[in-house]
Amino acid sequence: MKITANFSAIRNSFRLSIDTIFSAGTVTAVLGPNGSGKSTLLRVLAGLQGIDSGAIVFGNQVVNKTPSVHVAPQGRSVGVVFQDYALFPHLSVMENIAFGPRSLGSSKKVSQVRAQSQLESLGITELGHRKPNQISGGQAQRVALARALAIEPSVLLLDEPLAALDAQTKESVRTELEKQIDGFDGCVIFVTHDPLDAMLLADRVVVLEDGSITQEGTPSELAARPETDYVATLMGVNLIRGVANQGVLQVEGGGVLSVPQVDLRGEALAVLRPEAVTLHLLRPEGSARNVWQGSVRALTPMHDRIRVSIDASPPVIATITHLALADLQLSVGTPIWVSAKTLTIEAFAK
Amino acid sequence: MPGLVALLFLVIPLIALIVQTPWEAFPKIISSPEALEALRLSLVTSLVATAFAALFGIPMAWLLAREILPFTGLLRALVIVPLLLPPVVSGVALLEALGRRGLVGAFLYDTLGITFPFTTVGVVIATTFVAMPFLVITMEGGFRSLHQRYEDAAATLGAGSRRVFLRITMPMVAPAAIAGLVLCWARALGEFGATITFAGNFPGVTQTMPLAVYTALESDRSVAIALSMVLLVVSVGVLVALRGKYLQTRAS
Repeated sequence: MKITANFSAIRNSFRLSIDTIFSAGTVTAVLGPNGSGKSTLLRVLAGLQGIDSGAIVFGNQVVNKTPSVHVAPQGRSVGVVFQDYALFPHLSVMENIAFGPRSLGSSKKVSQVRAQSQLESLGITELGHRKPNQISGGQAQRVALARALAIEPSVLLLDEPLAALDAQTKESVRTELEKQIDGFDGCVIFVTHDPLDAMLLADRVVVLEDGSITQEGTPSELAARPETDYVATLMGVNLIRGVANQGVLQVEGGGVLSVPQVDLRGEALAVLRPEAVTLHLLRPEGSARNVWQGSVRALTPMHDRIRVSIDASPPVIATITHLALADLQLSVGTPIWVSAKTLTIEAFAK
Repeated sequence: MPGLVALLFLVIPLIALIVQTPWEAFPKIISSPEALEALRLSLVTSLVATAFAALFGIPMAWLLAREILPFTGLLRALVIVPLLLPPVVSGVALLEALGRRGLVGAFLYDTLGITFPFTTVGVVIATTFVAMPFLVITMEGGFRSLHQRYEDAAATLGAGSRRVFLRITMPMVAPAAIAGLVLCWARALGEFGATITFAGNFPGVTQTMPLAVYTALESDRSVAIALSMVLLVVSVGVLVALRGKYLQTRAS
């Protein structure tokens, strides 16, 4: 089932404006920083919050249309996995999963059979009679998913499905989750602030910043051509804005870069990978066409390398090894030369 | 030192009551027809009042907690007024509202011939009026501390609002509900001022335990003390019930 969403929703002076299509059989990640409106988007799609203008259509069912149409959550066939799972603490795992089918009118017996088969397909039959406070975080995630799937929804919404888990559990649950949502043939939309989740689980990523969609695309498109500073930072690349003409980019805020895309004209973005940036204490003489001077603004240790932020025109981030750091004897304020081969830069129209 | 004074101040009257209780005559006094009648009336009216408070007060507490109605703050204040009002004033207010010449009472009497003051139903009305706020504020706190996401989750699973309330909301606030019901019932059982004002003091019809204590004080002091002892035992029982189980569950 396809979801067409074109609406705005206002809540406490925060405005969420969405215009996009979620295709059937696609896993979409809604990626954005805290406060960007991700959770509001899910709440609106689930019918837990209304819209202030526009319309939302599920397949051929209009679920929202201002001013008068608002289909309640009960009438939407949407399975929701809440951020901290919201398992009903007074019900057993089995009763939690059977709650949905029972609410939708199945008999007690049928609901239990349905719950049982969900438990089996997720490999957690032994948890059936336990209470939510007697299972682990990873298990709770599976139970929440089983509960959402038990109503046989055509849309599955997941709010930060992995955020409540510790780093170790996260890895195994992510793999597990990937299998399960691949097996689900409806429309899957999940919200996350973790680019890794988006990259690994999604077919398509919608980037939400401050209530609006700033970029949409496949994970690889986002990685190759980030269009906003937020995405560039997530992808760990330098994003440089400017005006291109015949292979030369006049950088916004000063500086010039030679880029390989000689046919590109007008406003453009250039991506420069931090590992493609070379640092020198003296002005380098070599094949690199892009050479400019600056000073070290910050040094951030990563697990196997050092991130060096450089104040220059344009400012860049370089990653170097610990050995290189030791050789160059860098510290904050050290004057430094930066170079980058033209061919390591990819520029594209804005 | 002032703290100890306060302690003595609060404890000595209770000790005095226990010491002064005519223990030999106690079984005979409390099994007298008048005492049993008052006890029965107190139990019936306080339980019925608690039931009414639950039936109407719990949904109202939910409305207040979820801030569904406009001017929730003002409404909450209005609900709490009977809690602070001298009970005798509540009684007068009820007479003005539901008495034969009252705002609503006149209409009820003229068209339907219904009259509340000086009836057992009047006792229930007075008691409910005074005791319901205890249930409402306790339950409102319970509802407030229950995160909305459980109700949201139930709604997305297809449960209608009635099913959500009965299957999810109420079981999850059960500790607050029990605490609220017990407090409400204890207050109802001890109700005096509003009852005597609105319903009068007729043995067998409106004379509940506290009224019987008050009446006995003028004729036979030992009866008053014995009946008081019964109410003290009930109060201590409520305290134990609340502290022993429910308040602890709520805090954890």
